[in-house]
Amino acid sequence: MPSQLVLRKRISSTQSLQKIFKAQELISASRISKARFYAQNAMPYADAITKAVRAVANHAKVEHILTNNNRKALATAVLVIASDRGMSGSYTSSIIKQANIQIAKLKQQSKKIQLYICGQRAVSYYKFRNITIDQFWTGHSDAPTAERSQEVSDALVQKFLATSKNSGVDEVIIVCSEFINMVIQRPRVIRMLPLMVVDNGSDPDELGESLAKVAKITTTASTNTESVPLYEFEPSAEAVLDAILPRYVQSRIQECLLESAVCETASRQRSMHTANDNANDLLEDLIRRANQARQAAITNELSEIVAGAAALQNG
Amino acid sequence: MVDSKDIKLTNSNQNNNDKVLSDNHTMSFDFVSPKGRLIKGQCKQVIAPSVDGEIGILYDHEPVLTGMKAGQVRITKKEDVVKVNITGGFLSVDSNEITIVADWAEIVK
Repeated sequence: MPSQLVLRKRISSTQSLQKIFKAQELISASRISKARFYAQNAMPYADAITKAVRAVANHAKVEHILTNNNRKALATAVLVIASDRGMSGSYTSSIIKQANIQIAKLKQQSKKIQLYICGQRAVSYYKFRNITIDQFWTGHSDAPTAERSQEVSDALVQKFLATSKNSGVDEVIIVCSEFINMVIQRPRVIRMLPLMVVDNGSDPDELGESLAKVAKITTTASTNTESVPLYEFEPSAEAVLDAILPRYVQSRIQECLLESAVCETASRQRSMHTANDNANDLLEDLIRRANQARQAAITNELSEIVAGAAALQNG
Repeated sequence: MVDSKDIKLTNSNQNNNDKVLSDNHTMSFDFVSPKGRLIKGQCKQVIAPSVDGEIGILYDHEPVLTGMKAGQVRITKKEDVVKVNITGGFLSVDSNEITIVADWAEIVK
């Protein structure tokens, strides 16, 4: 049996760890509402852009370079959205796992891979393994700003416009996290570019729906039944597409970043809660063993005294 | 003679303008940026910096979708005019509903 001293040391270290877990849990609980608030704020923007994209897609049979699906894909950009910090259970590792599966698949199709990463944890994972990262962004993974999504989408759109002939890419894939509820978040893969513009009035790639889920807003599905008016495009449909599509990409990336932020904090809250529970169990066990050790020492001492007294009497 | 004709013209324009800018003819507008919704409400007139120059929108404007460059959007509400600086974006008008989408926007105080 370990000595009382060892047990007491373990008890105090478990107690201080438990305080950290508890604090982390409370912090992420408050961050979730913040992340939801951001997601809610981004909703009107995403909705307005989706509506406009749908209007153009319905009206004009215009080909745009961002929607061109006929290009042969030789190089692919993979954007991995993970977290900046640990203490969030399997959040980052499950995303990295999914990203590696995708990368292996793409390599099998003999496509060149360009890696773009958001989040310090994933950056250090790939750096440690000497895998080339084309560009990365760190900081604010749990509260992404509009500027950040702008930077990321600018970089990706630029690479896509450059095409694989000029060290660019032909398609863009995002590996991020999907928020199903507070308990379940799972990695998901989205093909971002070239854009799939669906012209039957249904939501292209369900934009806004996952945001609504995150923000817990029930959008009345009025947009699907609305007839799309015949718009006049100024100065031309092409120019309007030029203005709208990059913003659509940006708003989609922002949506991914925001949803991943909510997933990250939810995952952190959950794992910190579990860690707290585990620390409680451990403490209970350790305290019991410490008491047992103390009692054993007392019994030992008593029997020594009694034995000593008996020896004196007998002598 | 010429003067009176001129005055008459301006008068008729003024009347026309008054009619269009009357309280009964208001459009709903929604001003959004990536950071969230800026303002929403009813207005009588919107002037925005479209890519070709300025575009003015009054009641019963045809459905239009246009890009916007950096500049100032002026929204005439009941009495007051709200001015918003933007860096770019686009604007759509459809059955007296105006949606202004800006990359970055700040209301001029």
